[in-house]
Amino acid sequence: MKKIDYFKIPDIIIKKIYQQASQSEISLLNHWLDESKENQELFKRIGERKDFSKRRNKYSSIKDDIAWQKINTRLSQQPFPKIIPLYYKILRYAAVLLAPFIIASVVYYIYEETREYTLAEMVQESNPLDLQEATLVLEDGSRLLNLMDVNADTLQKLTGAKILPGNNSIRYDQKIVRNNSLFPKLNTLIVPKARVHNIVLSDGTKVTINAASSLQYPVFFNDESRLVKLTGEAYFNVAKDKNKPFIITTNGMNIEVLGTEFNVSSYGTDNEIVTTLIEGSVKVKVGTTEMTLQPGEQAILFKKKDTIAKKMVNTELFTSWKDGRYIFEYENLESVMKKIGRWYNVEIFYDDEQAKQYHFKGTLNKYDEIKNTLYIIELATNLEFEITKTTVLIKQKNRKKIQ
Amino acid sequence: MGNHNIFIGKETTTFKNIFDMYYKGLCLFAQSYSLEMEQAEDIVQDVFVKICEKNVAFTSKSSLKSYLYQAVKNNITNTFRKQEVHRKFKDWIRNKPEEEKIFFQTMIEEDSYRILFQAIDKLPDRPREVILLSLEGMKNQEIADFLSISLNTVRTHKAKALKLLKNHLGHLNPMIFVLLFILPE
Repeated sequence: MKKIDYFKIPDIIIKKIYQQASQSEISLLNHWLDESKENQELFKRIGERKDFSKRRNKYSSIKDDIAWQKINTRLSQQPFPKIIPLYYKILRYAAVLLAPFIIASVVYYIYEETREYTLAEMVQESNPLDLQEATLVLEDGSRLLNLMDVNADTLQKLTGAKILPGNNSIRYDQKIVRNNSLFPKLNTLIVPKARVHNIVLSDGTKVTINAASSLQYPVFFNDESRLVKLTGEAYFNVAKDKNKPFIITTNGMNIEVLGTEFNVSSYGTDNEIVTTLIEGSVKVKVGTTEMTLQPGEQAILFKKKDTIAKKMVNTELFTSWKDGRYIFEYENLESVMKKIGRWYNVEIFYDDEQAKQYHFKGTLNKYDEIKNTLYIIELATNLEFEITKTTVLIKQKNRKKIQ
Repeated sequence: MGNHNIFIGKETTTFKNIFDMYYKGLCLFAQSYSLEMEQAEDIVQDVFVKICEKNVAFTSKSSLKSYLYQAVKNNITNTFRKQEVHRKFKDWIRNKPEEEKIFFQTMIEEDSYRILFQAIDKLPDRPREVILLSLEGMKNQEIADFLSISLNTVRTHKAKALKLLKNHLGHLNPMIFVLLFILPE
């Protein structure tokens, strides 16, 4: 049986008490009641309304009108709102209709930037949307399609994208999206922690998006260039098109390519943006600095210092995640655990900061359960992992006795 | 500011609406984590300010509710964490499964009452007065004496209140799955 959505239970309890619950609601309620004795007691307690008057008095004594004023005062002191849909629409039309308004499109992209930032926050911060599965956000940012649940016909009707059979894939067909003005122009694919998702863009470019990442792209690319925005990590296999450069914007950096295969890792929580080239050639740009990569080369942008470095690497180390494993070559525990945290959607805590300095070489497979992966690390080190559903606490083995 | 829109699935509602529905209930929920009411109110206000600033969209009513209660709880744990930093925090991590259970239990109890109170507050004055007294445990005759009205009038008001209450609750729909649609402009 599926996990219960506990947030639905209160409505059902009250409806049940007043004989208004439907059959399916009653079965969900029973399922919850079967879970534990405490649940049954809780249900009984509410049904009897034992401390009703006490609760009612407290409830009525809260002065929500004063609170509402306070909140409004605080909000009016801040720049708000971040998104101005009206501007956005006007600018969109202006950019399309009037050539002199090309300047407007620059402004438009500044607005885009703000909007994308909120989306990026949704994935990377505490994840207010609480996404469990890869989710497609349509242009206005308010429509969300869960790609695990969505009906294939609905998805195609709304976006022009098809669900491909097999491993978490969707594909935009150029023929379908080209002349259909009803499709929103921009889509964003958000991949939550513990998920990986594939996408084929309308130009044939294949992208594998790693956990806790998002990619924003036009459903159909216009004539001059192919522009997408990335937060987090993705592996790109860009379809060749000499006339339309493919440009990835991420955290203030631009990566420009014609047709090639490469990996970009640009998580907000990391200090670097790492671009690794497998095939072809790419140009990396920050401000006025430019750097061209050859296959096997890697560009590292240090965000704090705003400098770029280049080196030769074993590319497999940086791309193996898309095949469900991670290869490490002298990487410290902190960096390894960051990746594991994104894999399994857990928060990592250190009992001993020194543990971060353990270095690793080897391969980790993405097992179904986190404990199997951590067991392998436990075997190789003097560390112990305390695992709960949402956290991992890392400790030294022999330290416990001293405490 | 109060007319600022919040998206919940395919529906749109105002920020003020959500505030009216949840503010008091969330304060009581926060208070049950052994906080003073003033502290509880501050924490809940922070959460509402954040929702407005961040322009968060929700996939369903249940995801909105989940966000509100989780955010209030997180703010409370952050407050605790600052107060008694390390030791307490470690205990907290160790007790996480237990802690989660308590969270859901508290949320379910407080939110059930919130829903009931909301429904009661929508009733017309007299029926509301009667049903409240009845829910507090008064017999019909006692209510009649207390309000100086006839026993029959008490019965009529009570029946009306129950009918309206049921009607309102029958229209609550936590199970709706979000249907997504884009209208061509």
